[in-house]
Amino acid sequence: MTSGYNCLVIGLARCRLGLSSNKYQLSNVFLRTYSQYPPHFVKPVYQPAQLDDILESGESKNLEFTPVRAAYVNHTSSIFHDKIVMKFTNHVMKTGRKSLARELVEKTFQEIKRIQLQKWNEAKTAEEKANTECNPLTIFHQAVENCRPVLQLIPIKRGGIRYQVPIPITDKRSYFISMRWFVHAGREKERKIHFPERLARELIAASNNEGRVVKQKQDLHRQCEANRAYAHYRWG
Amino acid sequence: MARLLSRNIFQSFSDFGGCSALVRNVAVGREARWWSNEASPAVKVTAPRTSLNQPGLQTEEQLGLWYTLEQDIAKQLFGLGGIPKQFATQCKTFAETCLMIRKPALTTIDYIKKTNLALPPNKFILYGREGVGKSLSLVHITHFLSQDNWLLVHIPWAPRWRRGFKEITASATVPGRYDHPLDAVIWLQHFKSQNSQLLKTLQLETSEEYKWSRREVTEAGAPLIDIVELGISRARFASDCIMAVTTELKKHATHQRCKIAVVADGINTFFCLTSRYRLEDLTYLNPENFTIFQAFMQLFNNNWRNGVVVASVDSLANDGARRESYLPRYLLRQKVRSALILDGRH
Repeated sequence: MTSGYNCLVIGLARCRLGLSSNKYQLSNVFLRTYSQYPPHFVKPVYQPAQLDDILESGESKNLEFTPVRAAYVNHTSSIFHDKIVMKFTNHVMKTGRKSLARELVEKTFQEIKRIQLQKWNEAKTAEEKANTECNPLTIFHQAVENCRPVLQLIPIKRGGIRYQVPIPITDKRSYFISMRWFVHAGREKERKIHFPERLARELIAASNNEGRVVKQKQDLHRQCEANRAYAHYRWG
Repeated sequence: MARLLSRNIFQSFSDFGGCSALVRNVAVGREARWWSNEASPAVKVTAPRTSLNQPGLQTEEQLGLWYTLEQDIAKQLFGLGGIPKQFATQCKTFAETCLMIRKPALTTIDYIKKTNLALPPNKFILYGREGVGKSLSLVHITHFLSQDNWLLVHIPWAPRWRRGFKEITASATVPGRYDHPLDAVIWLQHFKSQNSQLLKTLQLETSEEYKWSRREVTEAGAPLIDIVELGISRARFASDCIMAVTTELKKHATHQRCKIAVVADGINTFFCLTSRYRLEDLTYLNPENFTIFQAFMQLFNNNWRNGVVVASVDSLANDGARRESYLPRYLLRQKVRSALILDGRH
């Protein structure tokens, strides 16, 4: 029954079937996703380390005659490839301007490096120097991790009133929300300070568990805690 | 003899003197990267430094080495302009201001040391293409001049007053002249920051009375720093204060009470034919009508002593129409009078 078919439900399809648009309500309906590839096409493995693993473990024998999907343009086998940075660049992108998004993210990392280098060079003791993190990627990853929410709020209608109900969040969505908050923080008003500079400062603050983005996560957690009483609304 | 000396022109070009070995090693490393599959490990590069941080003591042996400009001296001399913006951000990131010792700057410093101050001022002009090191050489020379107890009349980037001025008002004292109230205040603060110590020790005084308004008067014999401070507090009179200060300094220098160094980045802008200020009849004002331009141009004459003029000519200081070449005669020869600064005929 489930072979080759995805169990993921698309809201639009559900609406067409006359069901509620609440995609988090558990249901028995299985629908096919829309993809240009038939279901048996495999996702490409583009990182050398993973390719080596597949060859060693012998899984490559099973994949010998399996057709493969085309690789994404930004999925490179470079040693500098970072999935979270790629995703982040996509979130920064507006109206398909990927080159501009990439430039902005690169400038952000440059700016982080400059700020941290200045701190490192002005540090007097060796201990201070050792505690200053100068790698922008480490700071970026730490910041995104620090701002990932553990729960999310969804609106559920009961008796004519919409309640904000806390429910668990998937890993993917938590990364998405964390990165989206950062992008919005970078796009704040007062455009005299440009996006890369603003974002760099936010990322450095968040990596130390300070700043407005971490505060946003904590506010969300507080609200979830406050609305714990409605948690059972999730199951109808 | 004065004519000969005033024709000294030095070309700024990239020469790495004692540093050529370092350049070669980096080039080999870069080529090797192209054929390797993995990124090469980071190589620690230590800059060749010298501990001789006084420009007056530097010789040909230190060519190509970097010397450190202390943070407080850098802030005192160049806090309000002088160091190019890009270089300044690098200095901020690495928490140090280091300059490379290069031949044009060393040669100019050497000539300044050997100058006969009893003769009209020598004019040293640095020229070269964009990005070649004219502004930073001027920074090096300015550092030497301040260490050697010269009174500095430093113009960080002259075109800012012709093209990117903050505000222009018609002069209240002289009809047909135009003032820069805000820019003049900034320059007076810059002058004070650079020369406050020296002015205290020299104790220069005004030679005549200056009447700014019915109530504000600077008497003859008052310390020169009073005019500077009045200009800083009263933006309306700041441009006239600059005129007063430069006239007084010229007199003091001629009477051997002090030695004055005029340092100007982009001196060819003084001889441009138009500025960005539009008059009521929709024509663009000739910058020779600016009070502060007239104040500084009187220092480019030959009718004073005990002075030196060090300047750079930059094609970017000219208007777009006259930027074909980077050579000094082309950049300066916009008016008949500008040629005189080169040939020294006055």
